[in-house]
Formats: sequence, C-alpha cells, structure tokens
Amino acid sequence: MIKLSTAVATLLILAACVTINIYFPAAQAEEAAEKIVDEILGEDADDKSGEKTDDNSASLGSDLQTYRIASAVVDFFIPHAQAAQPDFNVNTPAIRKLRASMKSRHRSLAPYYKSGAIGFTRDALVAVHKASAISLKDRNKVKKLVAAENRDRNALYQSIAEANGHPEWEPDVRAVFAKTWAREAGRGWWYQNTRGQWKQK
Amino acid sequence: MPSSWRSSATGATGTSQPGFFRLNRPACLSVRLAAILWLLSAFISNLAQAIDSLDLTLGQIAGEEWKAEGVELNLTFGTGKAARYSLSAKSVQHPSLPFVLESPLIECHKGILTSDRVGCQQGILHLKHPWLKKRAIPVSFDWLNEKRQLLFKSARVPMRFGDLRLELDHEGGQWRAKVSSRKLDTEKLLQIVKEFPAAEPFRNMGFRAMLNARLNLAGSNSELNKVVWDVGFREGGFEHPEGTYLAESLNGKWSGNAATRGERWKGTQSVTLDAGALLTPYFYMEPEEVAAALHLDFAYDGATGKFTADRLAFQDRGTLSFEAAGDYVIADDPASGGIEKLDLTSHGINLPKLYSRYLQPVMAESPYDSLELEGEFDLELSVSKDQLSRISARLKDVYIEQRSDEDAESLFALYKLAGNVNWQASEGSKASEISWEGGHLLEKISIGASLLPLKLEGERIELSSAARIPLFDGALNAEEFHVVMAGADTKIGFQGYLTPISMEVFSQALGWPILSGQLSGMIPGVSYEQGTFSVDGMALFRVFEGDVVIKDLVLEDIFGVLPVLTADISLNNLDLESLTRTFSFGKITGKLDGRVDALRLEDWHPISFDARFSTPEDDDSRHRINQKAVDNISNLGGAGVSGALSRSFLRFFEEFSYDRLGISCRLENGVCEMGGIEPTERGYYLVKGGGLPRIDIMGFNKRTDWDVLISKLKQISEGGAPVIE
Repeated sequence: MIKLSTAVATLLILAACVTINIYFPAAQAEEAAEKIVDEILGEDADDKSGEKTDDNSASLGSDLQTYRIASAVVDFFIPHAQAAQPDFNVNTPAIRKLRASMKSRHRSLAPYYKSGAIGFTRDALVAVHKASAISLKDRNKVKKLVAAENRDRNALYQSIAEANGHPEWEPDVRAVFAKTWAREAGRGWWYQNTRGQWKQK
Repeated sequence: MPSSWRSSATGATGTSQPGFFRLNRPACLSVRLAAILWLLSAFISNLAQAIDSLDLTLGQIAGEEWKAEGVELNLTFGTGKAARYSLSAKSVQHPSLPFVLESPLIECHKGILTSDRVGCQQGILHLKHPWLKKRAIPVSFDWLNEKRQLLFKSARVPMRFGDLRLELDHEGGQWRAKVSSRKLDTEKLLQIVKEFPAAEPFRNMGFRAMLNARLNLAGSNSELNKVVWDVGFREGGFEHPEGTYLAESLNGKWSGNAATRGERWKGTQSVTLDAGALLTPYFYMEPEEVAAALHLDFAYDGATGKFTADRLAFQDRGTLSFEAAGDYVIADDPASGGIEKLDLTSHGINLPKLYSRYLQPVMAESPYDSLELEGEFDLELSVSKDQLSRISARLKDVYIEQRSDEDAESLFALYKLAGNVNWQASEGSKASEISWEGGHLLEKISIGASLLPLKLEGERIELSSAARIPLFDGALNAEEFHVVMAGADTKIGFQGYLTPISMEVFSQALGWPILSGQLSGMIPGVSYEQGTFSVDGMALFRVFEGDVVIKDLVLEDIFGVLPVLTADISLNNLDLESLTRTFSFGKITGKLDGRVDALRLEDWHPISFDARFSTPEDDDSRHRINQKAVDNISNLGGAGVSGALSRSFLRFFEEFSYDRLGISCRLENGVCEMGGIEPTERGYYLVKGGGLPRIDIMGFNKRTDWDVLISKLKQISEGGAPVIE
C-alpha cells in the first residue's frame, strides 16, 4: 500500500515536473488579457465583469484549479521553481503598439458593436454579425476597420505568445482572449459562444 | 421578318354546308405566302356564299431562320364586311425568341382579308408561356401585301416581371419597334431569364430595380440600326459578390439614343441620380438635394472596339463637376484594352464636400481618414495608355488639419494654403509652387508663412530651390528636399539647418518652465523608410548656458497611434545655477555634464533610457549647494535625510560646498535603477562634499518607480511645471 502510494506520488511529481515548462499559465494570461481588453474597450467594457457569458467562461474555473494543483506540487518539490509562476509578459514594444492601435480604433468600432452590426467571434476576432445595420456609406469603412482589427488581434495573440518564449501558446492565448472579449463586451453587444452561435449580452 | 417565304402545305380541308370542298393533293406544294393569300381571297370571294367556314391545314411554314409547324387557318364567313378568322400553330421558332412558342393562336374577331391585305383590328393572341400572367393578349395587326408591310400592336401584356407593351412596324425588311414597360422588376426578370448568358453578370451583381422604360428600336432585317431609350428606375441596387461595388435605393433616369452606320455607333446618353447611394472602392456617392447628372456623347466602333467619349460631363452641384473626353478600348484581352486617353477638367471643386461626401467613406484606416478641410481647387488631369500622365491642380484658400481623433490634439495644420501643383509622368513638368500663411505641427510647434518652389515629375517630388519655413522665432531652412514615391518604399531625403529658435518661446509653447537659450542645429540628412524618419546629424540646443546635442534621432509612426522617438542625447557644461533656478530646485552652483543614451519615448513618454549626470571632471567653477537643494536631492535618492538637516546643527549654514555631484537612472519596465557618482557600502554618493562646510548626500534607494520619481520632481518644481519628458 505504501509502495503504491509512493509510486503514485512519484508519478504525480514526475508528471508535474514534465508539465512545468510547457504548462500555459492560464491565470496570469487571464489577468493580462482582462487588463488589455479593459484598456482597449475603455468605458465600453461591461462593468459587471464577473457575470457569466453563456458557456464561454464555464471552463475557466477548472483550468484555474488544475493550474493551482500543478503549481503547488512543483513548489513543494522545487522551492525556487519560479517558472511555474512566470511573469506573463505583455509589455514589449510590438504589443504596446498593437494595444495603442486597437485602443484608438475602438472609438471607431464602438458604434457598430452597439448597433449589433459586428461582434466578437469565438476565435477572439471581430466579424460582421448584421450587415444590414451598417449604412452603405459606412460599409467600406466597417469592412476595413474589421480587417485591420483582426490583423492587430492576430498579431497581438502571436506577439504575446512569443513575448513569453512560447510561440506555440498562441491558441491558448487566443482562447483566453475569446473568453475575455465576450465577458467584457458591453451590454447589448453580440458575441459568439463556443459553438459559434451569436448571443447578445 | 425574312423577305422570302416558303410554305409546304400538306393539305387543306374545308367544310361547307351544304357544299363540300376538299383539296387533297400530296404535299410538296411550295408557294409564296402571296400565293396562299391569293388563293385565300379567291376562295373567299368565290366560295363565301357557298361555305360557312373553311379550315386550312398549312403544315409547316418556314423562313431562313424561323419555322412554324402545324399551322392551321380557320375562316368563318359572316354577313358583314369584317372577317372572323383564327390562325394557329403547334409551335413557332424564331431567333428573336429564346424559347419555342407552343400552340400559339390568334383569334381575330374583326379583321379584313383581301388578296392584298390581312388585317385584324380586334384580335386576341393566345399564348402559353410561364412568363405570362394572362394567356390572352388583345392585339391588332395589319399586313399589306403590296407594300410588304406588317403593323402590329399589343395591349398591355402582364408578365411575371412587369407589364410590357409592343408595337411593330415592319416594311420590306425595314422595321421599327416600340417597347414600353411599367413596373418592370429586374430581379424577377433576371430570375426568369437565367438561361440567357447575357444576364449572367447582372445576376452575379445581385442587380435589382423597378423600371418604367420606353424603348424605340429601328432596324433592317435582323439588324438593329437605331435605338432611343428612356428608363426611369426606382429602388435600384446591386451588390458585387465581393462587396466592393454596392448600390442601394437608386432613383433616377437614364435616357439616350444611339444610331449605327455599319459597325459604328454614335449617340448620347444621360443619367440623373435623384436619390440613393453608390459605393465603390474609390469613392462613395449619394446625391444631396440636387440630383447628380452624367451626360455622355459617345461613339463606338465595333471593328476596333474603340469607345470614344466626345464629351463626358458630370455635375453634382456644390461639390464637384467635371468635363472629360477620351477613348476607351474594349478588348477581350484586358492587356490591350483600357483607357487609351482621357483628359479631364474640373473647376471650383469644393474640397471639404468632395472629401466628406465622396472620399472619406472609402478611406478608413488610412492616415488621411480624419482630415478637416476648407477651400477649393481646380483640377486637370490626363490619362494615357491606362496610366496617369499629367495632373495640374490649383489650390485656393485651402485649410487642412489632421487630428489623431475627433477631439484629440491636432497633429498638423496648414492654413491659407495656395499654389499650383503640376505633375507629369515624363520629364519636363511645369514648375509648381505651394505657399501657406501659417500652421502648426503636433499642436504646439507653430509654423510661419512659407513658400515652397517644387518640381513634381514621375515618382519624384523635389524642392527646386532653397526654402525657409519659420518655426517660432527661428526657421527650418531646407536646402534640399525630395520624396521618391514608391508606396510602402517611399523615400524622403532632406538637408538643411535650423536658424536659432529662442528657448524662451519654445519652452513656453510646449508648456515647460521658461528656459533661456537657443535651439539650433544642422540636419545633414533625413531618411525615411516604412514610416520611420531617421535624422542624420545633430540638433543642438543651447540651454542653461551649456549645450545639449541630440544625435541619432529616429521618429517612427509620427502621426500614428503610438509615435516612437529614439535618440542619444549629450549635455555639456550646463550651468546648474540657472537650471536649479528654473525648476525651483533650490540653488546649486557649478557645471553639469550628462548623457541620455538609448532614449526611447512612446507616445512622447519615456519608456527606457540610460542616463547619467555629473559634475564635469575638469570643472573649476564654484561648487555650492543650498539647504533646499540638499533636501530635494535627498528626497530623490530616498536618503531620508530630508528634514533632518534643518533639525541638526547644519541648519546654521545657508550653503554647503561640494566636490562633485551626480545622479544616474537606468529606466526599464517603469523602474529606474538609480545610482550616483560613486558607490558606497549601502548605496551611492549623490553629492560628495569638499571644503567647508562640507556635506555628503548618499542615496540608498537603488530601484525607484519612475512615475513616483516624476511626481516628486513635479512637486519640487512647484506649480507642477513638467520636467522635460
């Protein structure tokens, strides 16, 4: 019995040791994403950020727990394992520029989020939700704004993954942002849930 | 209608009461229609009294391009002059019909049948076709055999896509037709005629409109010679599949005429647009109170494919009107087609209206999407072989301002802008000249009246002789300036110098504490690449009786969302007394040298640098520091002696003597790693005493939050006058 539990413990520790360097720091990423999204959306961000948005934030809790268990084991075994608590870096010149660019563009996009013309997609981008809500005069403008915003968003997720030394984290970063955009979306805005269905906040 | 008619009558049956008539010879009787008619009239005149009705089975009647099968004629002999008869066929095929007419039947209630005339004043044409809402169409027609003339007129024909009315006058191969339609729904029409290849592009465009149209056509045989049209459209729109060309709610009129001689067409057409909106990748258009009108006198040569616009006139009153003429070649191979030549002239273009109504809606995400404009300009341009070859513009009283956002600060502005701009693709362009009365750069840098003599040729814009642009009380003297336009690879070259600007004016404008001294500099070169300006050479400030030299200045994205400035700065022999006085820092005498290496500002805020300031090695000036300055320095270094001084015996001294002083700060990630002139056990010396009374100030705080440091400096300089950031 003791042998078995030792074996299990060893396995657990080994597994933890193996995962430490590749584990995506979901909590820090979540925090960083929230800060960035809040900064970009400014006053438009939903002030009740704790509110659940359909099934988007459902998996967040379990992610967080897994992460805590993993890091606790690692801390115990390797006391100076700072790597489990990496300083999630979102502060490089490239990222700052993207943030400034998106923040500036948000002023132009905001009316279209509000009218339901565009919304947040499940892959953390922006898409046209209701083209008829855009006057012909603004059609070209919105198209260009959406294209530019998506270019910046894609670049942002990639840059954040790269800034943290793990370009392969891009999908994780994107997933965190997808949840964050949806959670921070203003009242009445549209977003896609994880199944790609449009929902209104 | 073809001129030669053939008929193969397989037989004819007639029933008569009380008599009997039967013509039953084998087929192969080929006669002209005239012969049939002659026969008919002969029957009618000779047998009318003997028979009540006559059925003739004519079988197939065919022309060169058409045929009618199972043709039958039924005559009913009444008492009056008017003839009653019916003509039917099993099917009719004609090249002008996109389908086979099944079982057409004409019933004539009031007609005339003589040897040289077949007419019907009141007839009903029965047609079976899915396009038709009603199968019975009132018609009238008249065939005059001698003149070989057919007159045909239909009443309103209700079709699935709207009503049609047709009139035809065909005489010996010459014909005229009038087609009119009411409430023609093109969307339904296009759905119905989807088998027509000609409808393909319109269907892909999602073309829709309600049309009231009148079409007059004339031709000979199967050729169309003349067409006159008058089309009123409502709720018109289209949508290119890629969404690049869109139109909505177009209301207006399109009228025109065209006539041909051989393969050459000549005509005019005009379009007026009363309402609606049109979006293309190049412009947006929406008529205001007054309709926008386009008029075109044109010619088209089918043999060469050349379309000539003798006169193209556009008018959108109050905004833009132009006249143009040119040639366009329509070719299957796009490389050999296109605009062969075009000359366009426009006077008095309203710049703000042109910009806001036509251009701004297609300019999102461009650096020019939020300009404020006033004034007007004249424009002439030429296109040759699909390429712009010449542009001449005359600017009148133009005002231009760009803001980063509607209520944000102004990035640049120029007012009372005037001049002539002449560009041409090839060498030898006329001289250009631009002048303005004033303006500003980045809100605070004021620009005075200037005149720039320019030459614009091909991809190159250059200053043709030296120019002086006043900045504050000095000037930027441009000796050489050129731009080589190549899209993203646009290159700019500049050479010139700054004549002194007084720091007093400069610092005041930037909201700094008033500084004395001068700003001047040599700019041996500026290069531009991908949105980044790199300044070769150096700018020299003379401030606080010393020199400040800025080197390796690079400006990225200067009018963008996050302007970045990087530079290396060195400061030599600044007079500390005037510096401390200016910033209310207390009083320190002596000199100060310094360097700020790898300075990086983003949105004009420091992000990183490596700075150190200290007393010059060979400085032999008097080194004194007063109590207030000691307090302030202590405060910065976190030495904690602040206030202690005034409580100790040292408070008896107004001033202290020092040997050297200095401070360094290496800024990164919002944290300043601080140091002094030399390290001590626990910290570093900020001021090292010498002589009497002697004072040493040490700093212990090695890492300081940059924002905290700045707020401390602001407090010190009272009134919050900012330190140079």
